[in-house]
Amino acid sequence: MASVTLRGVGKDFGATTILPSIDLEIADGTFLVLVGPSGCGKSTVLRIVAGLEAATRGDVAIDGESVTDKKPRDRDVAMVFQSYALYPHMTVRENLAFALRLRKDPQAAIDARVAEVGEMLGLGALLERFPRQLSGGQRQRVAMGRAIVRRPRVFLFDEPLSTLDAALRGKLRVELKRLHQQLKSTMIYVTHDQIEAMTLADQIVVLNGGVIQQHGTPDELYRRPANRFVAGFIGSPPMNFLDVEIAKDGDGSAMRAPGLELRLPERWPEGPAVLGLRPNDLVPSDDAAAPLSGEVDVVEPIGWEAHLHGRIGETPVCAQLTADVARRYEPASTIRFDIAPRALHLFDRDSGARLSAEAQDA
Amino acid sequence: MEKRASFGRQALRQLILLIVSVIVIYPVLWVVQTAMTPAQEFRREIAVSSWSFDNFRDVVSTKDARGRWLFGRQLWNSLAVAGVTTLFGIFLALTGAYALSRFDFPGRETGLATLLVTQMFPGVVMAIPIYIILDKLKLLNSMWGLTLVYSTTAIPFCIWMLKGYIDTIPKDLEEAALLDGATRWQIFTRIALPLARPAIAVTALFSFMTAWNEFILAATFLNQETAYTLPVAIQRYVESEKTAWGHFAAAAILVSLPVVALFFALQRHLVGGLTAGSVK
Repeated sequence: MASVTLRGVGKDFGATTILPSIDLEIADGTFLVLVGPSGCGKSTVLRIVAGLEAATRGDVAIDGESVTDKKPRDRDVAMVFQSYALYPHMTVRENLAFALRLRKDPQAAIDARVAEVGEMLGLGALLERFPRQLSGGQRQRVAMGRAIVRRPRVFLFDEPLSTLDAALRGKLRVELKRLHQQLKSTMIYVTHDQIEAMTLADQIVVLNGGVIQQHGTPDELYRRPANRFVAGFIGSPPMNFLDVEIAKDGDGSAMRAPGLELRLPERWPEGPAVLGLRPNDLVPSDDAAAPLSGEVDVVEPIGWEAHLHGRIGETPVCAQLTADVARRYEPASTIRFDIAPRALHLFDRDSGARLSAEAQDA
Repeated sequence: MEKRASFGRQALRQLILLIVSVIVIYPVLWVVQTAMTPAQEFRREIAVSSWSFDNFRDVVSTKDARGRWLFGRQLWNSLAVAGVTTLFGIFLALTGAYALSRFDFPGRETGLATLLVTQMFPGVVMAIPIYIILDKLKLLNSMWGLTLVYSTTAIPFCIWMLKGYIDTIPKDLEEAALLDGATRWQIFTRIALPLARPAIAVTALFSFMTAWNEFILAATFLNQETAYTLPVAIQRYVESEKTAWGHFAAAAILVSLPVVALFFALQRHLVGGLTAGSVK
């Protein structure tokens, strides 16, 4: 149980800067997910916390105590690797006991703890097997068990589910969440999968190009993405983006684009902007005055829901509808959408930063 | 289904196999027959005449001028030289190969290239300079001198072979061990070594055979009968005026036995897939 603090942590590989400078405060017991596209530096952050990679600059502290100069084994952190990294020449029991044996715990205590963790993860019947005799999901459970068995201060997960098939991934995701509820430990979890991030995290940090884009709860990131990158990264299917022009219109503003005509009661910064709309915020409307109109291209039914792919002006968009509603639209037909005002996300066209309406009393 | 070969093709195939088999087996049969024939003559054909183990007995019971058991002494010399070369070589090659595989340090690339370059010269070319060095170190006619020479020739190759294998052991395993609280040395002994077992077995066999069979350098550096290794001793049976073919063949068989035994002893370690199930 521990808090983790990163202050100005950066990493260069030769002349290449992978991480300019990361500041991060992770409270005790938090499940924090670092998410971002591949190469964004998220694994490097994790490896720096683990001590497997030395930070070029900055400081890492666990429970307020700097561990920057400490070896991995003196940090009391455990890591679950993407590749499992099970010791192939040891049985499951020996894999689980390895760390305890190294720190010379009494044999009886080791046996008890291995049995307890084996029970917790449903590995009881597999203790005498070798890793090669296990399935992918079982191997990943052993890898988790090896971390749990030590009761570390911090758990680190490096894309632990990415090599598993979708069904198994979903199952283990639930197990991981249950595990966190049970252990209440600080966990840092790296993934490129935003669904994993959304479902597991107490707190999400979105990284891109080594820079923190946003840090918040899954809900905050979903409802109020700080910039266009986060908006596009979080949510599935991804948010639609339309290039729009904002002009003054009486007390408020008017937003225009081909296929879009919308009056906004608030005053927004004038000029070019990007409108972000989540696929599930596009509500089909029979009203000829509905602000958005486009052409249907393809309808993808997925059981109870359907993804309607179409075009507003020249921009491809995706709308998430119930299958019943989607069935009413034929390819090449016109579709109109209503949008709730709270569903609008506006971003600066150049910087991608989120725009806010000017204060009403201005 | 593969089409059945016609009779003609089958016959041709069998004929080729037969010829190759004869070529491979003839020398072995020749040596065995010569060793079992008491007369010390040279015969080309393989024919069963009278069989006896006299030649083996003669060779094993060879004594020197002062009546000491010479064969035993020479067998010990060979075993000691080959054994120490192997142990010493494996230890240095393993630690060296591990460092070259896992650590980044100045001179790493150059070192690896240099090790390779040393393998390009035939051992004979080095015989004279090494002779001079051994002479200066007072290590001529000494088992230690020979061991040193054999180790230096075997280690570079062993390092390359072991490094190639250690490179294939996933780094994740060692990082996992590092987080589990292992020291570098514990990782080396508890993770890397058990997983490098097949490569260690092959390298050990190679080192042992190199030292065990080597003749030219041994013949150059050893000039006392009691210091001879077995290959040098065997050559004694082949003299310019009279060759004791029976003794020569018997000694050759005796010399090859330990290598065969070692091979069978190490064979169970020559298995693939040791890292199966560890990653992905």
